[in-house]
Amino acid sequence: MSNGEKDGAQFESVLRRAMVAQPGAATRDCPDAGIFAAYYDRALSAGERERLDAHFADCARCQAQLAAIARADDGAAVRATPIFGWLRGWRIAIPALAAAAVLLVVVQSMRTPGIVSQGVQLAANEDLERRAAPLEPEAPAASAPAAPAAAPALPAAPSLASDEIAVNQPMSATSHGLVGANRLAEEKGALSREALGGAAPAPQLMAKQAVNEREMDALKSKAVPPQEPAGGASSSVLAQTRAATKRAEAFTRPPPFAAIQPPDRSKSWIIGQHGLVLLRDSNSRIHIVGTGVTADLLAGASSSATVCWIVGRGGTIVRTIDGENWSAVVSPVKDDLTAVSATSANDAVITTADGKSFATTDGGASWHQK
Amino acid sequence: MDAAAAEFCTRYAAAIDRLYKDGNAARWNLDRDAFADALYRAAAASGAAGGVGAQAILDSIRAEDLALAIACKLGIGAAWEHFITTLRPNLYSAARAIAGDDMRGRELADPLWADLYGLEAREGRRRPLLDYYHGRSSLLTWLRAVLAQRHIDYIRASGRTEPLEGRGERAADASQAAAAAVDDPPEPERARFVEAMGQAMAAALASLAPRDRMRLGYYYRHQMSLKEIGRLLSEHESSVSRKLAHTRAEVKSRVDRALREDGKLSREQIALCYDYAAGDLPIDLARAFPEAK
Repeated sequence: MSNGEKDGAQFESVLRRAMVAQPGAATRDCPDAGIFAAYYDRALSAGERERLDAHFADCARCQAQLAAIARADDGAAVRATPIFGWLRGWRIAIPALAAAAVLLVVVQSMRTPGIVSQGVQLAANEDLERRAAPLEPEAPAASAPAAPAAAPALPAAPSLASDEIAVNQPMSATSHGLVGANRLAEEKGALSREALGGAAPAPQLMAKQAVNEREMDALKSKAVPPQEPAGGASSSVLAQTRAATKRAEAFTRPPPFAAIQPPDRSKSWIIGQHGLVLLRDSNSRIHIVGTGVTADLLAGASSSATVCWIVGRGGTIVRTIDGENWSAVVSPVKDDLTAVSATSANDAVITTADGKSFATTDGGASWHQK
Repeated sequence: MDAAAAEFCTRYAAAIDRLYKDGNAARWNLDRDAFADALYRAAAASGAAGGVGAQAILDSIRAEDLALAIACKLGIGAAWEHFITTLRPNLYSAARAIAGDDMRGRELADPLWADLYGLEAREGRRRPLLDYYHGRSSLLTWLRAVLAQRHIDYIRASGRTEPLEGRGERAADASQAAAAAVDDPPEPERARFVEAMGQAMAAALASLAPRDRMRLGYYYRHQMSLKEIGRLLSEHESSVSRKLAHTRAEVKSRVDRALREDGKLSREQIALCYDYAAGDLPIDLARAFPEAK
């Protein structure tokens, strides 16, 4: 190496050492993500850019963030793949699908006033404030409703025993319009699964959903209570129709997710449709939990940080006694199980959609009806 | 909607109508008032709600992305499905690129979903992260910026003390210095020369224009490619390369001048400054003081 080349290499080395600086804490002059993004997208005015450049020139943290954004953009350009094409391996797919599924279920449930007032919340560490309250089970609707059915009472401030949560009201309907709504609800659920599973490209999904939504609206309009007959028919007929409408709307709502916490609130299990179970640990990290079930999960109870019982549709019961490994428990019935309470790994009480309760004292090896 | 927001919405009604239409907000059944309120908050966040610069802000709004974000905040299922379908792959790709590996990328991206919607309530209120998206950039770029911010915070919280880049080089330098300390006798002038070099270098860098300092920082501190730097600075790769070379030459010239004129160092002493500062040990005897030969 000539002296000139050596000089150049040395200077490079010295310059690199001089430039090295660790990203510090954000200061008041460091912009937020929105400004970073607008800067990167060149959406800021010349004056704004100039002001930011003066700060970025000397801020290792801001430079690091911009470098990361540029790297992300470059990574996306280099690794452009079809939608869902990057899903390789269940280790990547399941957490992403699970997280997205939870979100979809939450969004669907939180749209409806009843569920919002029910206040289903994701609890995290010390921030747990409320838990879902059990909804009073409805009597199954007959094909021609004979008596007005009151809407389920939703307590404004749910207060439960710390080890009990039941989040879903029983859903059953047999009238024609309601059955039609059921089918659409199932399709919509399938649409969500489809969207998450990547079976169809986005435009087709949206078109299908648009059609389904129009059909849904048409069915709902059929369930709208008719005008009161001339001569003033009894209000009971109107109330019956309104109740049927409400049940129809309730039936179309997918079951909401629920959060289950042990008494020490050291973690949260989040349950939802299609056997979804997520664990939110004490560091607020979310982990996918494999329970082996695929049914919709409707309620859970945790008596300690290592014991949790979860129940769901079709008599589904799963349990962990070490906080990590889950096993199925044989249910005494195949009915949808909408509530569970547990005081230990062995002692639990499950409740079916129509109000029957079964208790176990040996971890589910045997049950007796209460 | 408060008085200031109402006044803003009245004053810029035409622009709001245009954005409402361009953003296809009706697709999500978004209320025009909710959309207008979001535009007001976007202007307010940039300090332009009072009027000056508000039109420019509105002209730069990404209406479709903003409408989607508002719809998602409101919990509209169709909007979330669209969001997840169209943005999730890019989000995870970005997280991988930022974090550097698949596992860490997933750890970075997974919790974001819950925060975007605001699953974690505080004081009884859902606080969606999407509240902070104002439409001045694309939604995807904003998501990347959020990921980048979280990654930086994670690096700091992990307690790493070495720089994000250049770890290997620093380790090599450290071991070299340690070896030299054992093998070579201490040089009394070393500390003085290193200090002189440090001061000269700092002064030379401080005298550069901000964009030149940024360019150097991105290249040397963050080891970005010329293409990535060009994207950030709106420059072509060749321009970045040319300007980097020019800036390097300028810095070296200023450093040499400072050492020569302010430090009163000879040419050989200046060479020693570089030797010490660069960590080239043992000393190149050919460059030592003549009387040391």
